[in-house]
Amino acid sequence: MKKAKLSQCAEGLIVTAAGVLFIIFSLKIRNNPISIEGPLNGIVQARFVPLVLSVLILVQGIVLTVALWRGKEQTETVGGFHLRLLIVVSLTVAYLLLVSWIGFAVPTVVYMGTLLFVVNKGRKPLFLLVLTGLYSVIALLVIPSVLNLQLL
Amino acid sequence: MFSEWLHFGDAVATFLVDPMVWLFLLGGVVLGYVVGVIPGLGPTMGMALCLGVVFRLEYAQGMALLVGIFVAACGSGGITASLINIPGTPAAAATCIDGNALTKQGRGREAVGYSVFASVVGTMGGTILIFLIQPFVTSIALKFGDWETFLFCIFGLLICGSIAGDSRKRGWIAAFAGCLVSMVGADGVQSVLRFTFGEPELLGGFDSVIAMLGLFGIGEVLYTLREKEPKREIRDTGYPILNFKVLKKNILNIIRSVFAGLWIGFIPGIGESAACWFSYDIAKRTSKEPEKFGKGAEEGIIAAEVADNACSAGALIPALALGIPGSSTAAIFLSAMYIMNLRPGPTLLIETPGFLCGLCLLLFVSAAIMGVVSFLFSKLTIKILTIPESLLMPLVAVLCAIGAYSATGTPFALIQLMIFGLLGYLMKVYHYPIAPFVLGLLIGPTADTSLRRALMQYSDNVLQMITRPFGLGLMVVLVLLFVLGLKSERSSRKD
Repeated sequence: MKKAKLSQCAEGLIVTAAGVLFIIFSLKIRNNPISIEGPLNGIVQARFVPLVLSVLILVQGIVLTVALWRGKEQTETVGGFHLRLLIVVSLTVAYLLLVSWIGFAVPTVVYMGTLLFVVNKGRKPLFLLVLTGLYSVIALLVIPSVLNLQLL
Repeated sequence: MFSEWLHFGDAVATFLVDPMVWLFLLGGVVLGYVVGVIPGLGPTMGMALCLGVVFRLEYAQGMALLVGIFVAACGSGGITASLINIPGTPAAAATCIDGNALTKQGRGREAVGYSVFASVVGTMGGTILIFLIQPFVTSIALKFGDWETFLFCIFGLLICGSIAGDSRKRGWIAAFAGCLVSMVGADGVQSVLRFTFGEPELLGGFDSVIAMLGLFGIGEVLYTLREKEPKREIRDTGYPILNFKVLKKNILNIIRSVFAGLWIGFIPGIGESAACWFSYDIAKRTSKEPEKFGKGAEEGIIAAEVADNACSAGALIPALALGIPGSSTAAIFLSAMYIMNLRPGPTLLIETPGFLCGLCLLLFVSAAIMGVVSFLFSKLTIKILTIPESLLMPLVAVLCAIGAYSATGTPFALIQLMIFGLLGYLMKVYHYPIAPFVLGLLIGPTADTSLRRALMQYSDNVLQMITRPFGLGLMVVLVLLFVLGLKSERSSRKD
């Protein structure tokens, strides 16, 4: 029973933990190099606003946990975890990492082609190949030349 | 003081008689439309591109090109926001809420129609008001200090509850998290490093354009493609359409939004990204059907777009009059003016009499041209953006990557895009509203910097800061809004 209640409150507990973590990180921010005289010196420090925000997240996390515990709120999610999602996320993450590493040309063509084939299984391969080519021309040649961008 | 109005005839002769000026205005509007519709680009990018060309042009032609790009790029960002839930420009983020909801009901043409109409009316309305009040603008803008700017930011945070939708608690958490994310990097007062963890890439903080591309763009791509068969929304294609009954009902909303947008535009540093949210909130609070907001309310689209465009026009005036750019777009505009041998600042109107009249004229005419260009081009845009999502989204992801890369020109932009993309996806899955997060991200640094600057300035007499007349008035409004917000939350709980 307690386990079920705890898993019901997981979302609130995660937010609360994040609040605590942010408070720790905020407290680690250094003091201003130039201080002002008087009691306001604490408020004008660079850590002040992040600390206030972290405390607010912590408070909201506690409020959410209590609401989840009492059943006034519910953690709602859309869809579950499945292979298709894993492939789409992995492809996109890999594409962005590869572009930051080796540039736009090859990763863009490969990413668009692969993604089009993965998410359009019923469609004709030739159509998807032509579309990949068209998208690649738009993304790598037309837009950069109109906007004077150096992508290649 | 009022002599600027007398130069109207000269301005007409300088800017509207030369056919080349019209040609550059049209070219600027078309380029502005393109950069406005593509997520991540926008007016700053479009105007920056033309700096090299402006150098070789005559004063009137250069101004026409810049103003054309500026007006069209600000105005067309709402089209992408409505059709694919990815704002073309940061200022169009509020349009996503109701614009995309309307598109999901199969009324994409209407959503685009209201967005374009509101953009044109917002720019025109804002320009007329600027023309009328231009002699007083500088003195009003100078009354706004750091304390007043901070109070405006608090006002921005207060509206997070109402734009959060069903879950206010998650809305607040998102808003605070957005503010906290915006604190990453060297702070704006004494350059103290915050949350950088020794990484040199984080010194400048996260770029808000990239963050929005990730949250809205990549997040939307992942969210849409997660299902085996992405929902095929019944969308109609064709020219944008308008329901005149709806427009008639929104006259007051439009007037209110023009004033709201323009007012925020006059305050340096706040900008159009915040204006759309303020106006959206006011429209929701004053609407007879507030429950429709978030579900495709035409009032929401109109309020956000009118304010966004009125603010864009309004923000140029203090930038020119004071010589202090309040946004990156204004900064590009000011640099273009220096290229054209104009000196923005308090002496601008003395050295270049009739300049503000000419600018107002160009803004007004650009808005009219933008209306026509957007109407004609939107048919194609709607057609492109309404093809099945499984075919469109791979291109959208790549455009987001190009937009992010062009924002900073560094590979780290793509890492940022990935982080915010995954965050945006998770927020959608767990029903955390993205709008408050974005609002927090945009106003966080301004709130932090202006509060600390104000306190440092008045460290020996805080009472003097609090009792400044403008600030005092704002505080009263804030308290009233807070009380009203609490009341409406209680009554909605009872219901």
